[in-house]
Amino acid sequence: MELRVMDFGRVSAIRSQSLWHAIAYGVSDGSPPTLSFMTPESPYVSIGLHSDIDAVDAEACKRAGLPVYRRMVGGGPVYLDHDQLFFQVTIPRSMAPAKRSLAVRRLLTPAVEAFRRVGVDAELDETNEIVVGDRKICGHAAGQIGDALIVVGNLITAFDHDAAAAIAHTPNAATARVFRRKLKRYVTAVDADPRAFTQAAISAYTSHLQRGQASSRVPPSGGTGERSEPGGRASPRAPSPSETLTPYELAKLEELDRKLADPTFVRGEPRRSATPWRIKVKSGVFVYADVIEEAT
Amino acid sequence: MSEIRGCNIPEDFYYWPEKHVWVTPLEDGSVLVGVTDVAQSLAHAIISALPKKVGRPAKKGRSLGTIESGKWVGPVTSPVTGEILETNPALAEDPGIINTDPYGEGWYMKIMPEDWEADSADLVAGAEAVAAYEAFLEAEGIACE
Repeated sequence: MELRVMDFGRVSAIRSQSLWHAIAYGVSDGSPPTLSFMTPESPYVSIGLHSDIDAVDAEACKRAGLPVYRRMVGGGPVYLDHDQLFFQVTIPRSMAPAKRSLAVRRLLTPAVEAFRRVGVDAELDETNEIVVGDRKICGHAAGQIGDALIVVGNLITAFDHDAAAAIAHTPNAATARVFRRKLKRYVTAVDADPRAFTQAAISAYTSHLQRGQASSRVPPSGGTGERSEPGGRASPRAPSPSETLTPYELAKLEELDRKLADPTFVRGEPRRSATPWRIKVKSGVFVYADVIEEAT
Repeated sequence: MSEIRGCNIPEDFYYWPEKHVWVTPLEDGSVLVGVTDVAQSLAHAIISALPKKVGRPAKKGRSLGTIESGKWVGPVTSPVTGEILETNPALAEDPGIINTDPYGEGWYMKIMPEDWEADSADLVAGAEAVAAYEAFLEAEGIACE
């Protein structure tokens, strides 16, 4: 079994979502474990499969020209842009521990190793958040799509806290201000070279899979071209999906381009609202409508 | 009620151990479906449940909807083919009942199977279910907390 590596460089906002979903369907259908990378060329908002669309300030997104897409893994609404390198590791469900938190921990551990190799003093805390000190440096989410397990994360080289705070629906201006302040306090970008991080991640995940599959050969393969710099120009060496994905994955890609942006899918069914209202800043840190709680 | 490696496995349900779902036939020919104590333990604190809509088809081996815990969204796999008759309305208010009462208040949905006899043929029940689940949990090294 080999580790397929795909670096798509800069892609459209929707493709920065649909590509890894298509890969998950592919791995579920028999494609090898895959490590993928991409950066969106324009900002947008992504909400989790179970997220309430009302958690997003639709008017603010519209004013800012931000499309909203729904992803098929967990977590809440997030602001994503070209200063973020997305990475995803996708494996057959059977290769991971059955316990969800342990599976996520195992699949984020190589990412932490990659952060450390590029000079970021990252740790995986007890809640499976990648942090430096008490600051979150990587947003992650996970899920099972078909028989594939996927964990997604990002390397944030610059973070627009104001833009990220503005996309959240909050009950009043004071709460919005507190949320923005807390985001600045608890979420931070890191000073790391995305190219170096990509190579470090490939190395770390390859070693990780070799340890887990002692009899397997795990060479990186596929589009391993030097990636584009988040915020910079597109890499001429980044392969196109048609060069790297299987025919099945390409068909799913086109389907997912439509589905993840489809207004009905994005709106979704009414979800349960948190009572009392609250918004998450990072694991254990929430902003409430009338009170702030910082659990540790 | 049998307990295996800390997991409750009632003997009066049918199971698909690899998919961690239980199913029990009702008098009107429909079946009630839910996730096992093993599944809820593996997921830990469930914060959301999103069953598919009533009237939609259920296909054996395909997703009936999803549950979320710890930023992870995973499917609930259908043990039968048929039509979704009802979803558990209590899950919208309190999905945590899947954790606290997976075989009772935390049921996931009711389905009218097209061919229960055929679908149940490769499910396990009773002592066979307990033995099958025990073998599966042993092989996977799973224990409930």
